[in-house]
Amino acid sequence: MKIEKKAQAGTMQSSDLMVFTEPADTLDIQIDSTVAKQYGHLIQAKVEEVLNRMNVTAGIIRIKDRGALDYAIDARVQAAVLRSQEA
Amino acid sequence: MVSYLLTDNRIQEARNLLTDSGLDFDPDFDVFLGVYEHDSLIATGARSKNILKMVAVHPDHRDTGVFAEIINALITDAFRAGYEHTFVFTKPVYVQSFRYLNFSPLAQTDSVAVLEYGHSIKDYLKKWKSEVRPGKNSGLVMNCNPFTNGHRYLVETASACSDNVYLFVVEEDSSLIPFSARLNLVKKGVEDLANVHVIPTGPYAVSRITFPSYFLKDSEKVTSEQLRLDLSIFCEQIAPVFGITRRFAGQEPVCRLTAMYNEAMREILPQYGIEFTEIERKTAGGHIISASAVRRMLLAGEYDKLREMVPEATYKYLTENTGVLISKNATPVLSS
Repeated sequence: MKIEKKAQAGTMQSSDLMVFTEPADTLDIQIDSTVAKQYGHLIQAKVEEVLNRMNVTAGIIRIKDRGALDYAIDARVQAAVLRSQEA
Repeated sequence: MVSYLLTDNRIQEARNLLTDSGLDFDPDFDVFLGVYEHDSLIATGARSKNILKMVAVHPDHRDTGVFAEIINALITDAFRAGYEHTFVFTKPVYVQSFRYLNFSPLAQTDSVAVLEYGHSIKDYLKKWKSEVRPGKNSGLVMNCNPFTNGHRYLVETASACSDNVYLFVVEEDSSLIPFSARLNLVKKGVEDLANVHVIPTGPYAVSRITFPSYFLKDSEKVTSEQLRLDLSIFCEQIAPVFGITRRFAGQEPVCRLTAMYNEAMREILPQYGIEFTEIERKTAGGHIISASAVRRMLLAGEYDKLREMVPEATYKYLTENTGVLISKNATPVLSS
């Protein structure tokens, strides 16, 4: 599946994250997190896991994280990807 | 809960909150939002296109999530309106609060700070990094509305005394000639100069963000503040990446605004170790060549005079698009 359009999910509240999607030829994950130093690699792994599960092969996934737990990351990424598919 | 402030009464409440927070009301906004608790306004914020402004939180609610709530509502609303790259102007003391919400600082003076959200200047610089060549490099920032023989002379001069020249073309699309055409005419106009690299400015020089006075006239005090912001971005972020140690500009005998810009460069650039060189303006038929004179001649149909002031590609573009440009000029939103 490819990111078809710009979409957004999540909020800027503490312990949440904002996910933006944008169409692109290749898959590009950009993570900006207030806890990047400690947990950046885990956020990256979680995002990749969700994208793999949903077979996302192309698009820009831009994450603005404020210390979200992994199930929140899972839900927000999934919501943004699904919204990027709506007509 | 966040609501849109739609009535004069609601907006007056927001104005009171702004005044109490030491902020000025600015009538230029597309949406005004507020957060209410027990029917009293505890936070407010507005957006004009991709710029967030007038953000204030009632002192009793500063340490709650309400700041994130109002900014979140503004960002979400901006995204729906098609803006995923947003900017905020705030006081330096609030920079950290915005950083906690993943904003990145862009520029700061003693009295104002600009931060961006969604994209950052780092992405812009990364994108153009492959154009960077080592050496004694120079930079120019030009609107080129449109590209004239005067611009050409300035670029040639810079080209002759630099290893590489980075010619930044103002990307803000608020001029008579659309950005894509301006960029194209610049590229054609300098294609024989091998050490000249043409690069769009993005929103990072002479834009609605860095220097709104260029498009909407402001007081000299406001203008001078904006010049400092604009030049601090150039000196602190752009010049180091491109290895720019010298900036060229044409002398400005007519336009007060551009003259102020040159004065500010003469003062500020050396503080960052960047040399400022002002070049005497080229003339044609006894007159200084300027883009504004070219536009006047185009609108007056003086093609013979115009032809002496612009390269062939610009002349061709102007004569082929005269109708469109004249009708565009008739709409009052356009300036500069």
